[in-house]
Amino acid sequence: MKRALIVATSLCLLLAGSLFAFARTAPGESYAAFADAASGATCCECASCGCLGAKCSCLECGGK
Amino acid sequence: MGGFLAFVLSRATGVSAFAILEAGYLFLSLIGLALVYAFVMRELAGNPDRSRYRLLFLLSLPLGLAGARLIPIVQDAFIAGRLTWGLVTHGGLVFYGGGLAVLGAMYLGCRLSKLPPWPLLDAVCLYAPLGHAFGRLGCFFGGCCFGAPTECLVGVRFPAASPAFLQHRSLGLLPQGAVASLPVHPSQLYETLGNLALFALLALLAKGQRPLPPARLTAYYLLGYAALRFTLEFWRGDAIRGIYWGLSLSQYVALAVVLATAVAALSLREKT
Repeated sequence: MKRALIVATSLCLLLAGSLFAFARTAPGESYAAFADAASGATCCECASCGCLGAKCSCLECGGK
Repeated sequence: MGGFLAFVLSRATGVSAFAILEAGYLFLSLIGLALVYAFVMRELAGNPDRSRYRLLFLLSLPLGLAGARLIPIVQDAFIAGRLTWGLVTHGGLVFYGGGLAVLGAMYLGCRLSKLPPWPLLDAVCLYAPLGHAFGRLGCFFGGCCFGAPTECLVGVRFPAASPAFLQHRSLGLLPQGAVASLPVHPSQLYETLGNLALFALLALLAKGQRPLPPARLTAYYLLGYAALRFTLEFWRGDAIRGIYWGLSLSQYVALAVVLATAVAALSLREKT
């Protein structure tokens, strides 16, 4: 039990560190390439407006 | 942030970036839920009513989902001035609504089944911060629940089309042709670390030399998370969560939780 808890907590910290490191070290040209790819997508395809809601709850989606 | 990672993976695999984003987002959150379930069942291993608690745990999950949807639906309907089916079926989830709905459903379910609620609730509240820490990683991955703009060292930029980018663009904070948001506090990671610290504290209290009385861990969790959430909301920057008279909706919920927990603790003490 204790070992499983330590593994779970360590995994969480490792994931947090990896995601943070990825966010901090991604080069600017990658952002530009992503922006090019994302420019064709609509707000509702890309945005998330609340936890777990990967699709937008903005009114242009929800109001329909 | 996950959108960006999903884009890289999408290029490598040919799978839709949006599908990868949704999968990653849900995967991290479901890991959190699965961990809570597994550790709670392990905690209740010696309890003769374990299978009935298991059923109540699973039955309370859909109610938790409904609770998590309630706040965004009310907010969107309030802004739109009407309630439509689209507002009900589209949108995000709010942890506080879901968490409180799950705990309320478990409590009611135990009472209706004539089971003592505290073995289940105390176990859930002990492991909830650990599961929630994974859930917040999902938020960081999905880019929701982002922080306020900052110039400090830990600031991170979210890519184009992320909620942070869209909000900053709509407020006119970004120059023409910007490819990422302004640097913002990684508020999701702050909450991950805060939840892990809260879990460590609760685990120390639970495994101390003297066993805690029933309901004590539930109260400690509710008070601890309310304090954590109330504080961390000051570093949040997503406008969609709703700010009213200087405080966010979650901060009002946190204050209400503290008040309700204090009242319940006092009434329990008077009874015993």
